[in-house]
Amino acid sequence: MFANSDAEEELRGIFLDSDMDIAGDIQEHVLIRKGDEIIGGGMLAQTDSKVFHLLVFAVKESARKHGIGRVLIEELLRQPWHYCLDSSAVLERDHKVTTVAKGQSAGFYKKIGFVPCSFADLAQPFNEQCLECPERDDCGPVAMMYAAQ
Amino acid sequence: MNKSTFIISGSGAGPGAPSFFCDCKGCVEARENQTAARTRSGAIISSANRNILFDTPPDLRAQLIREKVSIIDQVFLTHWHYDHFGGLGELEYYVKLKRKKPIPLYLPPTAVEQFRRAFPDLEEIFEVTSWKFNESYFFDKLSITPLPANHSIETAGFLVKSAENRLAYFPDTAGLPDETAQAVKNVDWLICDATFHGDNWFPHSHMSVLEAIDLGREVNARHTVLTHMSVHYSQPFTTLELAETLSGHPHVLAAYDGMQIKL
Repeated sequence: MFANSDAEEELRGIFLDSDMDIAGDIQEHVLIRKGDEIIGGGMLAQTDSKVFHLLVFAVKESARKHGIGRVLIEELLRQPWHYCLDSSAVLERDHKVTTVAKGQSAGFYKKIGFVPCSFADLAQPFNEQCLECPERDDCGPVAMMYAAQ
Repeated sequence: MNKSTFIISGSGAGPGAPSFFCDCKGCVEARENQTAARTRSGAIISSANRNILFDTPPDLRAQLIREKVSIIDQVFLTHWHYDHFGGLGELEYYVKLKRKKPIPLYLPPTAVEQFRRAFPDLEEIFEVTSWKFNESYFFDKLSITPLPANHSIETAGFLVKSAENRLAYFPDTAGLPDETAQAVKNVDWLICDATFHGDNWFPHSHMSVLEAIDLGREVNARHTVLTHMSVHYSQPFTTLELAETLSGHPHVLAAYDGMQIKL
């Protein structure tokens, strides 16, 4: 489930197609495979005992439009502990996942249950990640939060 | 405050996943990816000063090592099937070399004689008591109550209550008897049998994934956690396919080995 260096090139290609990149150590990324094919990936970081931040998430272009992105993101949201390397968290009744949606992706995240929030609601350093970015205007980043119940 | 954690030490059905004899796609994935592997079903209530086991599957030793459990205070068995009792003997040397006194072992009433026949040399290892349905056992700030399950032999599930949560653990059951369903109504966590994916070959003993989801809805569980899962039958599945099955059920989670729930 977690990626290793063998998967780095393929996963990076999927991310680059969505204007993203590997977000940390490759081993911290979750791989999504269908058979031998990597069809997507993501990376979650734990920012508080019940709060996680989704740094990157992308599905291979050829695998989109079959609802697979929704299935995968729902699974990550359902139990982020399981998909966050070295998470010390224990399941509790409520948890939150934050992210920064870029470009058109805010619509995708809204359909899944994320709601826009203030960048101030994100944990450091994610609350400041777009401040100095030269692509900010083109990218239109939206801070978003998902609250599990 | 000393909070307890409910650990799902094993989330697989009788053959485990991968099974040594199976090359289905679920077992292939479990061989290649340790996080997709499922040892036989069991659970642990763990707190700073106490560990209570629910069932002793044949994988018990590996589970205890993985969960860093080095002290065991009580053992409750749901029923006398090998995949739930087969690891009892793993506790022999813990008692002989470290604990130095028998471990209280709570068995189904009809299993006491079977235990004595199966393990005549372990009499000194366990202090055997038969649990009673609907009778609560209290440990620290928790209560544990065996409730009737629907299985092929006398079987309990356990309702665990803490100050903040109610958790029902029913690894082997086909639905619930009416009085049990009433007792677990509105639980925070229903952890239940989801042995089958697709057709349910043993509808009087086990549930399928979809039947387990329905049961969670019937008892109005806040969260339903699917356990005792086979990845082989009746339709083998991969992690991705299970995620597809659970899509649209935000309050349903697939258990995994090592899953922890705060009590």
